[in-house]
Amino acid sequence: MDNSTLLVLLLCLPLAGLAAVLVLPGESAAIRWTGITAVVLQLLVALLICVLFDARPAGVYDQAGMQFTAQAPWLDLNTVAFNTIRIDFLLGIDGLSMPLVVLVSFIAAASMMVAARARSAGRGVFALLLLADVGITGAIVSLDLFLIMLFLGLAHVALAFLIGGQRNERGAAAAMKFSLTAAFGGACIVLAVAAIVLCSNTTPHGSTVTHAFNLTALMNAEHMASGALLAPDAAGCTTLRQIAFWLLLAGFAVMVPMVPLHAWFSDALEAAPLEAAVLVGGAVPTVGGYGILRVGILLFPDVLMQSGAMEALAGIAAAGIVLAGLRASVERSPRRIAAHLLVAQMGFVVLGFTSAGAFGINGAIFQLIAHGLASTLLLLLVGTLESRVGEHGTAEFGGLARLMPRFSALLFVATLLVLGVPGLVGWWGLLGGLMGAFATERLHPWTFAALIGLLFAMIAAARLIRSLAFGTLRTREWLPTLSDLTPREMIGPVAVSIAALLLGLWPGPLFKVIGAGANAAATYIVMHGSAAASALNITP
Amino acid sequence: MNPDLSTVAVSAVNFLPELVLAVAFLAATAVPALRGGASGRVAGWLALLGSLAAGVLIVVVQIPLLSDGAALHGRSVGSFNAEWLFKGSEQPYGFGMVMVDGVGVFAKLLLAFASCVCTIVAMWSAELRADAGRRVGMVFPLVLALLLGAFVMCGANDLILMYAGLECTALAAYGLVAAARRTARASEAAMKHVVLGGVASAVLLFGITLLYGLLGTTNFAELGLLLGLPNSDNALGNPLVIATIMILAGLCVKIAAAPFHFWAPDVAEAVPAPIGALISVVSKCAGAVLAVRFLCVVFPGYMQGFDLAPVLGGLAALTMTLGNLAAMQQTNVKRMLGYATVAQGGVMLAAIAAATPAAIASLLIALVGYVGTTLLAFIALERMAVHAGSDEIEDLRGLGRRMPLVGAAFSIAMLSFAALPPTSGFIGRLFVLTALFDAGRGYLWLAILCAANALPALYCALRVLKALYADRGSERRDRLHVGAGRLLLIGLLCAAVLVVAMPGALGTVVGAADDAVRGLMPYLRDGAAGTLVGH
Repeated sequence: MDNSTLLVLLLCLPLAGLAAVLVLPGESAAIRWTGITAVVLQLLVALLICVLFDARPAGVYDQAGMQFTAQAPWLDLNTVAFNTIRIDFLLGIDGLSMPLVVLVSFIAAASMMVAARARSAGRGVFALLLLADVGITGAIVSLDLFLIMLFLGLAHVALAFLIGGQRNERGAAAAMKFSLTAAFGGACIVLAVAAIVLCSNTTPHGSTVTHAFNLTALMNAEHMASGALLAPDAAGCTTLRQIAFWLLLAGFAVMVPMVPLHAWFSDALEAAPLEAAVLVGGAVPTVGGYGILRVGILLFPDVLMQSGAMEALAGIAAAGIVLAGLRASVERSPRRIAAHLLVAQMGFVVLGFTSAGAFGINGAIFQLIAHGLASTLLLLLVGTLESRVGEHGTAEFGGLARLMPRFSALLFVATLLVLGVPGLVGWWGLLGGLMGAFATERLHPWTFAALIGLLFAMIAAARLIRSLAFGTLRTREWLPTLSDLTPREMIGPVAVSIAALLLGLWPGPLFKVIGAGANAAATYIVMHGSAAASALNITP
Repeated sequence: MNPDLSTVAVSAVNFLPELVLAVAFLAATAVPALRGGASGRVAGWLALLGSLAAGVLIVVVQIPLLSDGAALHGRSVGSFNAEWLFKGSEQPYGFGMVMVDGVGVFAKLLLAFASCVCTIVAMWSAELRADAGRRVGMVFPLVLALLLGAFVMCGANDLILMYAGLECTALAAYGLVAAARRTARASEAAMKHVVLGGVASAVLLFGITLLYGLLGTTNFAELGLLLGLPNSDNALGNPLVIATIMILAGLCVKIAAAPFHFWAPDVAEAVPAPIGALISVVSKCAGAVLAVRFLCVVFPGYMQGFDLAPVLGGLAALTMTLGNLAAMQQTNVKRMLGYATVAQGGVMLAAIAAATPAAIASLLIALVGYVGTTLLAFIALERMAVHAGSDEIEDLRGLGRRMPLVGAAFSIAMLSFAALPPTSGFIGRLFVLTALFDAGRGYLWLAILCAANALPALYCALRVLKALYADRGSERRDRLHVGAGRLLLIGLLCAAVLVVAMPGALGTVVGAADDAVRGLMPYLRDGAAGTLVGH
């Protein structure tokens, strides 16, 4: 199957758009249309990938099972100082990443549409959106740690500029907070990757030592040089392996965002211009959650299974759900309530991955999709409301259901999606995550805690609905000017709702796509998580 | 070793780059005096052509000498990458006074490049012309002298020549600081620089005499051999430690390592941007290479004499942390850049402390990034500072929108200082981290500190970026004009900073750095085995 160009195309389209946006003269509509064309084409390519995707091969630890693989040497050098270093330009997706590619392309398209509608958005905004899009998409489709770091760096820079796009103190502070937190994560990842790569030897039987950044090669326990700092040994995982695992986790936890590295998220969502908020709220957590599984857990399954890391991670996830739920129920601004609800939702993603079972991983990927859709829906709606009321502010409204029935209905759908109500895709995410967590006995206390957190989130969601849609309409002189969503404004929210509904009522195909990968990942984690298996180098 | 003059004359051809620089320096000094004009135009062209010729001659003359004629980027593993002045002797690496080896050539090429760029900028710099006035003619001969001194440092294999090279660069730098600007602050900076430099060279000289008195030779390799004799460290004891610490202190002043770093921000602030960039680049590159050669050859793998690794590790930790913490508090961008370069020096010292082949190679990779980033930062900043009329962060507000390309270039440089991917700063940091892990468990803390130092560096970058883009300065939105030539230069440097991470370029840089350390190999430590390489 010669589909290897599709993933390259997926990255090249926004890159080409970026180049065009940068060189086009003037502040013209051409810039806007170039941006839109690039992301729409990207979304079409993503959908094509979705259609051509073969659900049977598992992928995960097996590079041959990856699809749409594109590979070229980036650096392949035989040195005396570093032995042989190998960096590959290696793109490929499996069932775990394919849905996320489509999701991220969709979110990028949504944020580009928002930017195109905003009058203030100039050349810089479109360029940065496309750059962030390249970075985020690239980080998901790359299978080489070096590439992942490069793409994350691009996304980091572009997102920081986007968040600060309002050019006020709050925006700058939020951008700085995001950037510093992300740099902390980046430093953790670089540190861990440097150590992992140094300890790797992907030619264990050859005459020379090869250090590679290739993710699937690094997942093979045989490719960890024996006696190296991070080598697994029969006695169990070493302290250094634990440190490396937690460094990777911390790096991606920033993006998820997980407690206690989540403070940037609500600030960014509140202060960023709408187009940036859509991208940050939906796509960044997707990369974060995906990275936790793909890079953190799958590289160090033994640490997860043996060292109490599973309990600790589940505890952090549960704490995040509880804290975010509580915060969401006391916040006033709709954007901040949405941000905390989304943090709570991501807690279930982490819980699902942590449970390390096929159920849990399936559910977590579903939850990632639910999260991306919910965040897009929530932010689009809140953004529309903001554009209506302008400087009057959106806090403590009440009674919009009568004035803006369509808006209120869609907002209701969004909260149901966040809370994982049956019938929408969030249900499968919540159910899978919780079932996975309950299937693992060590996680029971934390799963109960997470359920309590869900209760808080429900209260918060109810408050959000009440404060905006129901209750008494407080009379203010400008209220009568509020009009309901126009058909054009409906397109985005309705499309998201339909997607959420379709995936919720008819989850079979998606389960099938994720299934093989989730099963393989779960088997891999359990096999390599036990000491005996890693000592014997058994590959499942 | 019994040299006579004929062998000296024969091998003199191996040092054509240095000779060309010396001639260009003399010509640049003499020509304006003879012609009577002080415009500096002729001297400028001489400096540019001299640097360019030196760079070309390195490629033509010195690179073929390395490892049996293999090119710098060649694959062959020669036993010795050395060519010593007294050709014909059969001794291994470096029993001469001056040598051509991979590490030195690598740094010299970078320096020649930096000198070309800085001279071009300086020749057309309105800032420099306005500041230096009639003394602008003095700037370019001093640039050549600075480069010559740096080349000598890169080739020095003897305590005496080390001293000569250090003094040559130091004197040229004093002159540059004083000549390039007439403000009181420049005089203060020059004064501070002179006093600190003078004390440093006195201390260095004292250390050199002490070492010579102890061991009876000034040659690095002979010193190393003598120290390697059984029981020599017991016999020498504390005087050896004192002598080494003194020499180290002299080198630390050059690299601007804490606690001898105070001159770097002063100089960066006081002088015009291209000169500041050149001084900073020269002192780091040449200083680091000289430190590597002295420390590794005299104390192979830090396993004889006394244990240098903790001393160097401590210095590295102190330098990068202090540099970054101080940079965070600056309100002047040039001072901030000065401290940022200090912090980068700390990372280089960390690599020197490890003394493994991977560490020295990664030091060279980091140097590539450092040179590109520093030049880009200073030169982009110069354009903005000219328009703002000041170097204060406050005064740069809103400039990023009025000068989008220069602003973007400066942002890239700042992010490269913060080691953010995909800049060359990131590549350097990644390789240094890998090398520190490779050096063994004793260096883990240093690796963690290196990685953590990206945070304060990023904070500095963000403060400037916030002023450039987020803050509303004057509400004017008109585009400021930047000359096409300057824009092209900035663009090229920008590309250089970004391209290092790209396929092809990455391989070239890593391959060249790897080849460069081959000559030093027998003097380096094997991180895993804890012995010298090959033992």
